[in-house]
Amino acid sequence: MSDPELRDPRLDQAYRELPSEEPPSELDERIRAAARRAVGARPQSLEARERSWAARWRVPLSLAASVVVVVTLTLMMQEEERRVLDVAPAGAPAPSAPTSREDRAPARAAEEAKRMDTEPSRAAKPAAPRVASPAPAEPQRAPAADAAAPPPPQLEKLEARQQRLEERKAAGVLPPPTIAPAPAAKPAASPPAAAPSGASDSLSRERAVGERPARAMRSAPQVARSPEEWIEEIRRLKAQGRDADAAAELAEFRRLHPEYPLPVDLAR
Amino acid sequence: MSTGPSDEELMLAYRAGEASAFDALYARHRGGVFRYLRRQAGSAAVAEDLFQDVWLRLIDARGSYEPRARFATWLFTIAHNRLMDHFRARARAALVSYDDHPIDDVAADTPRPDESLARKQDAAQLLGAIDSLPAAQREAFLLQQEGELSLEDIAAVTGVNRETAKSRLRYAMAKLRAELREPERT
Repeated sequence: MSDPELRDPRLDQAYRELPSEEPPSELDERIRAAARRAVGARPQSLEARERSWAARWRVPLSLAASVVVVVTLTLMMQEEERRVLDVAPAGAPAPSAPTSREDRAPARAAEEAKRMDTEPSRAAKPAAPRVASPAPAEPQRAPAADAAAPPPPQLEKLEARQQRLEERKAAGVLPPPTIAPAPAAKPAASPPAAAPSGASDSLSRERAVGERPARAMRSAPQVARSPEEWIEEIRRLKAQGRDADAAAELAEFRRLHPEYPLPVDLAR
Repeated sequence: MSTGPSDEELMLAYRAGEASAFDALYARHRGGVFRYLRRQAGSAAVAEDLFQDVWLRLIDARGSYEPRARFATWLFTIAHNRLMDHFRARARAALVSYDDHPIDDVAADTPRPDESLARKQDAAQLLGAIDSLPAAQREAFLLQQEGELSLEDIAAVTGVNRETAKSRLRYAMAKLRAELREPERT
């Protein structure tokens, strides 16, 4: 008490000596029971009620969420295993079927990619690693596909063209590069062709062959003659009195074989 | 003073759901509250009813309890309010006389404490002297003795300012002291 005059020790002592009146024990018990019931029913403030609700349901909700996750993952894995087993016999014979998890990965990835194509809605599911994995599966299928596939059309054309050229060379249709078709009557009009090096040169030469005059076509067999045979032919022409032809052949011979030593009878 | 947790800590613990905290609080204050009600109501049966209502109100209001003031102040405020409801319901004459009387009127209307104390000269006579006090002065005295409340707390419980509470208490003590002196003279 802040005011000393409002406290009298003698009065306080006299009051404490009064008979102490107390509530009956049954009343005490009723009140204590009511207090315990109130706590058991938890009619507390809203904040305390929310806290107690969260504390009461935290563990059951956590357990339920864990069970749902585990069951979902298990079902997903079983479904995937079943799908792989269903696909494996159709895709490859039994001996070559993959046995280990690593060996199965490409096939499974390819199957997954196929499934993604047919089921676009599943691509949105959180299976990012599987979506990215089909890439390694492509090389596995590539060799078989290449063996069965026809070659590209352009390559086929080039190969056929080269084959035809080879056949023509073997048949002697095309003159060797060193022997250009030079008509005997006009030796200056047919300069020696440069050595061909490409397919386009072969084609132009082929066209030139088609436009060759009849005399050139007749002299075509001479292209394959040896110098000795050519010399003999020139002698035969001279012997037959065909001096002009013999002179033309000789001039052509000299132009193509300048180092070849001419026989005495033709050197004059 | 009691050792261990304070009244406020016990009440907060009970608000959080600890039933044993209420038992400790109840053990500390059950006697004081009961005597306050018993000496104000005048009847043991009425006091018991009021006593139970006071504690049930406290139990129901535990969720809103905040230790802004002493727990005893809060508890006796509940008791005072319940007592006022009782007085109003009963239309008792004490309710009418609860308002402050001029000290002369009080002296004229009530028997002199020293006369009463001189007649009985025992503790029961002090009780009689207390009973003879005007209700407002008696309440101030009982709150001081049973609730160990300060002037400020008494003013807060009874809803008056500090000077009014001080005046009530001073008059009550003066009358009771006079009752106590009388036996010494005889």
